[in-house]
Amino acid sequence: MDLLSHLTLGFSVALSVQNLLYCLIGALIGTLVGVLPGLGPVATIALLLPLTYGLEPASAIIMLAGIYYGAQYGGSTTSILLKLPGEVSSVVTALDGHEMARRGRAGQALRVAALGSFLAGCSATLLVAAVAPGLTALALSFAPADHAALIALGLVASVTLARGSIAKSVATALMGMLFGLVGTDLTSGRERYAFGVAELSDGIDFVAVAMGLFGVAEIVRNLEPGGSAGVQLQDAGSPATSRLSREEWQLAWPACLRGTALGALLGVLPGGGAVLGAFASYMLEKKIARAPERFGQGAIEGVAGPESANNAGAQTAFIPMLTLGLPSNGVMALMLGALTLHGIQPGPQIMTADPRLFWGLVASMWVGNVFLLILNLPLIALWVRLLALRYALLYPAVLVLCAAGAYSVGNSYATVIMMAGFGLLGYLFVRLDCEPTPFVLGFVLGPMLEENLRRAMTLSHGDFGVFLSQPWSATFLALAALMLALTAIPALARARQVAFSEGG
Amino acid sequence: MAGGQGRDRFRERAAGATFTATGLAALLLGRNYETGTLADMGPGFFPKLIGAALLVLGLLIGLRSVRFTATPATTAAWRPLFCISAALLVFAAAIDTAGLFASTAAAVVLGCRAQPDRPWRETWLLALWLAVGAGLLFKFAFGMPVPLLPLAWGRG
Repeated sequence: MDLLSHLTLGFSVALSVQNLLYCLIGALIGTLVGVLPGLGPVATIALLLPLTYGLEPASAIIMLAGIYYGAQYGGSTTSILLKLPGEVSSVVTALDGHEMARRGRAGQALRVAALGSFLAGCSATLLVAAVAPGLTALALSFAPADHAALIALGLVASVTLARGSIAKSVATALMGMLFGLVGTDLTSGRERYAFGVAELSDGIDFVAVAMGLFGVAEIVRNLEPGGSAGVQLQDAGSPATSRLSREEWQLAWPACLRGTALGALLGVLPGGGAVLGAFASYMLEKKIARAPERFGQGAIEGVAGPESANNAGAQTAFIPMLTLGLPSNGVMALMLGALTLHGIQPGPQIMTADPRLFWGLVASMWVGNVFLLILNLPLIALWVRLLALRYALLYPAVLVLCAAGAYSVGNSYATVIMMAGFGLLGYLFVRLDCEPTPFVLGFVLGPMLEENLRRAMTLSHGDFGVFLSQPWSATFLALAALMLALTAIPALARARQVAFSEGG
Repeated sequence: MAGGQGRDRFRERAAGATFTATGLAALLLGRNYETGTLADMGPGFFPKLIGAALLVLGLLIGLRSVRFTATPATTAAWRPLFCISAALLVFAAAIDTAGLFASTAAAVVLGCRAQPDRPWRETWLLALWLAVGAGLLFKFAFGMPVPLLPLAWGRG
């Protein structure tokens, strides 16, 4: 069986002492930073990106993935205990999870979140392993025109399925593309937008972009008058680990299964990632519950379903990134950036060119979930104490992490200056109510789009018709057009606004 | 982050202006890059395409802003913005000559000035702790090749 041999290879990589250690460290640091106020998964990964720089690629990406699950998990912990969701995807968990905590059942809520996440993580990992080879084979058959159309579809989907004004998100993505073009054009060897600055001739460092937009700008935003710097610790309830009763368990596990299925499916969609799944699962559980009025009052299915969905989606979001080279959200854009930092060309060829990295990462997803399960329940008391840390003491540490981290990437002060610049840009985005994620997606995807567009046009001797005459390319473009057209329908536009405005 | 509803007219207009200006800058700065032909695109084709699209989209966003009403603006965090940026620039300027300890401490002190009414004692302590912590983490745990102390001391 092919799947089996792939997974064996993967586990042989992921279970090496060294990689187990990196996975563990990643999951721990990820949870630690994810729990800290004002730092969600994207910011956490951006901040810790330089720390993985010296590792070999497989270990680096395994550690980053660990950080990702850890941060995701840390976000659920804070939303249950404190109603402080670190990210949009755990907003839903806060609804009933915090209600449970307020009724003294924080332990049960955390336990069901951990078990649900674990179950979802395991199933999603299998799904990734099962689906990836087929998708990769398909992607390898793509012509340049198909790739260009797919990237366009990915960008369109990620702006329409994520929050924020579509026009502004598209513009932000275009802006990201322009910044991604800085440096030497590979085809002609000509420098673009580098202005003779040596540090720019290799392009803008991805770390500077990510840390500036998500790390530095976040600090300034949190220090705004009335920002989250003044957040007070709320009633945490008793985090004592307590067992689930038989009835609770019977309500919870079907919800976990449904959440996993929904989350895994919706997680593959660009822009959605973990968010859509969590929302959809909450809606579904509320709809099919025998007593829907319990929701919002501490219904255990309202924690079990979304938490499973959220985690399954976090895992399956890797599918388009690994097989098609298409990051579907900010976290995946960071992962893709991390791969390129290690000299790995993202795209379908990863699986064949670097099977150890690919299957090692897939297997490590499972390992990471095991670590989270065994580590987090005993460590909850510690995480809660961390939450009491004042932002006034925290942000100088984040600032130092940014400065020294950016410097360490190339041992160059220029990276620090560029990061400061992207910090300014990031705060400008905050003030203009623009999302930074499309910028990062554009930054990563822009050069790929250009390359494929050029090659497609060369192959077709300058005929744009190639994008419509090839079935895949035509399908992708039609889907992209359809998504844009749908958002123009007022009712759908309103529904989209409601769904994404709860991120707060 | 502000939600999707209740977009502010001024903010939309400023966003549109930013995008248009960026697109325009891309076109102007890239005007000498060869455009090439459709079948053989030069290094200038894609930047000009994206720049033009951004310029137009920015104009549309600006024009569309009349649909929205003006909402009371929140205060920008000017002071934090200045202090945090200054902290990073001082770190960048100092790191190669003054070493990791001194530049970290300087960045922390400047960064802490983002909150003007915090006690100085806390600031000094934070600067000391974080300088030591950054040294341990980056110099010893990650082996970053950076001097810990000012270069002049090492030579003298």
